[in-house]
Amino acid sequence: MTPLPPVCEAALRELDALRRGELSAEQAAVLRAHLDSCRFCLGMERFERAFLDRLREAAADCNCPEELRQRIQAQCAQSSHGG
Amino acid sequence: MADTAAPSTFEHEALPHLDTLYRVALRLTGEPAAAEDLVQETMLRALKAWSSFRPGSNARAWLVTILRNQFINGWRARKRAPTAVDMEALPEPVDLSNPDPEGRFFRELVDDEVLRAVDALPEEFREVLVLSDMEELPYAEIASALDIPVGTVKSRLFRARRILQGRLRRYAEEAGLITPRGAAE
Repeated sequence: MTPLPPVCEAALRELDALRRGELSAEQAAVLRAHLDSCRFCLGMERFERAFLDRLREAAADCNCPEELRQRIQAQCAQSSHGG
Repeated sequence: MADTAAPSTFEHEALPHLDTLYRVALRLTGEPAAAEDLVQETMLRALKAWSSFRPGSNARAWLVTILRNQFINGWRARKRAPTAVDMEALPEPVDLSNPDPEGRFFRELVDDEVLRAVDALPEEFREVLVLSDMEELPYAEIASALDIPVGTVKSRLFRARRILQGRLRRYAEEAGLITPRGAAE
């Protein structure tokens, strides 16, 4: 696979900050303009959204077991009453 | 009534983050039983250190820092050595000329496959990816919890995603969900 043009490599590095709203208005405008004109980077943005959705779903079912939660709550209560 | 302000505040600040702590512990240790022990030790240590917590600062980042320190100082030493990472070698981006350029195959993968691929990441990439992409912490909070610059968070995250996307694509190819690269008609 041929190396990406530097402008695309730089754009891909900033996609995440764009999604998070952590770019300045000016930076965001530059990146959006690139996405409007670059099918590869726009495709990578869609691809990465699908990837992130799947990661969050995979993690969503792994909550703290109830028994552990109760044990920790009991320790907190013991600490607050027993010093 | 006795003054119980500190412990009750601890409960108020810390207990809402138990799910996050457990999920991070699970990905760090790779074992539910070890994750439970790590979370319990973390909460005990945090409770003892509660007087050092600055009111108004970020309790989640503070707790993740404690959990990570517990893991590094205890669990990792006993259980897993960190994998050496070549920070210069940047994995190729996934080739979108393949079928399924919008990543629909991700939806066909089962949770276990996704989580196994996450667990196989080198530790310094895995912890950033879990905090960012699974727990959705802001860059600054991840940087604070891991004691690294925001630029390093972004750089590790970028690399972690490329590695993981490549592995998940290979799972999908092996499962016949998509056509392997170079095998298309």
